[in-house]
Amino acid sequence: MSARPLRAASIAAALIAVSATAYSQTPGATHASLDALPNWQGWWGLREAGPDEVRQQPPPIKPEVLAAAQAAGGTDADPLRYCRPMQFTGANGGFTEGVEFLFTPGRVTITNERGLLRRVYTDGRPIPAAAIPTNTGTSVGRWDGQALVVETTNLNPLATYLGSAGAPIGANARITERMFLTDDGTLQIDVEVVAPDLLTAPDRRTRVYTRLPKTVATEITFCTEYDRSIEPGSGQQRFDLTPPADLPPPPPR
Amino acid sequence: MVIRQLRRFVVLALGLGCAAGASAHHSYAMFDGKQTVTVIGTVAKIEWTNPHVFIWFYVPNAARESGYDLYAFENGSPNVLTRRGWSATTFATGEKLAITYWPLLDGRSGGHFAVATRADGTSIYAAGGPGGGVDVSSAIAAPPRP
Repeated sequence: MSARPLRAASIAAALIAVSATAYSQTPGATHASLDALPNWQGWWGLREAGPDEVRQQPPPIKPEVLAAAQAAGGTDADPLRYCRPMQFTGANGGFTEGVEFLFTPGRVTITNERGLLRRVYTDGRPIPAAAIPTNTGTSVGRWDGQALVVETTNLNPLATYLGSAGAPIGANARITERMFLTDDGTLQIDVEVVAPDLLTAPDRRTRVYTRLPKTVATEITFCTEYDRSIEPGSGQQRFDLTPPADLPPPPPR
Repeated sequence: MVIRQLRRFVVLALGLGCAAGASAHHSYAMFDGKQTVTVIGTVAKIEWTNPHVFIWFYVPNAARESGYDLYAFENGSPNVLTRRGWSATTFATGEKLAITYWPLLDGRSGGHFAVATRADGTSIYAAGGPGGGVDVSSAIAAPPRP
């Protein structure tokens, strides 16, 4: 064996060692380094926003896309929408779902009480160029000081976007989040959504979460065996006044 | 006993579809967001279920052969109500209450729960309701004790 391949192998080994060392020093890369990350333990609730968010700051939906969605009947035209899995298009849930952030080496997992599951890889990997679109997309993150910056692509192009009357987010959407504590009980997430099929410009929003005192998740699901508010066949709204079978009798007159 | 309270307040039509930030289960279009109504009666049952909790309620009505009307009130989801101090046993069967609610537009006996007052004068507020988010009912005055 000549000296040249040996030198190349040595250089490669050295680069791998340096790279591994550098990665091991990345915040959150090892169990020990998790302690250096900010304390996001517990559950977080979106500060009151709800419909006001869209009223006060309507997203820049392409007018022709919005008009077509409204002409098609809006979100109620889809009878299955109540029973779909969580789809990430920039919000980690609404004001009804508590959210949690789980730190493990090389990864942050974001869940909520409605079944959201986002795996954010913080181990330095790039986003795969040809990943299959999924309901929560493909996310990579990096710690910028005490802030977590997350890039998400490969989103389900049929996932609906807020204020769009059910219009889908479309292909090639990219979402950037910057998450950071503003104080011990307040987590801010600045979101930028780029969706060339749907939006005329990037949609930028700030969402503020408050640390909840709760320690146990309570499931919320819109997909149940029996829903008094939704007709299962058509998906249309209703108010079913059929009394429960075990309704106690009225008090004596 | 039904007390009409034409308590007008601003209700902005949604008309914007389902906001991802809100991730609402359904709109409140079936309820009359322009007025609230108060009834006095006794609790029949709490249905502590997803996605909405329902409160079944007997309201005396001498004009009916049965002597009562059965009402149903939609409320928020168990997880949000838990955060607001509710549980599956918040009301006992037979407990006397005054309940203020947004009535169904179709005139049937029911609507969306807003706030209830117990015989001891304490009140408990709903989660959700026409016009807004989790604490929209806080704009509604609690009824007098039954």
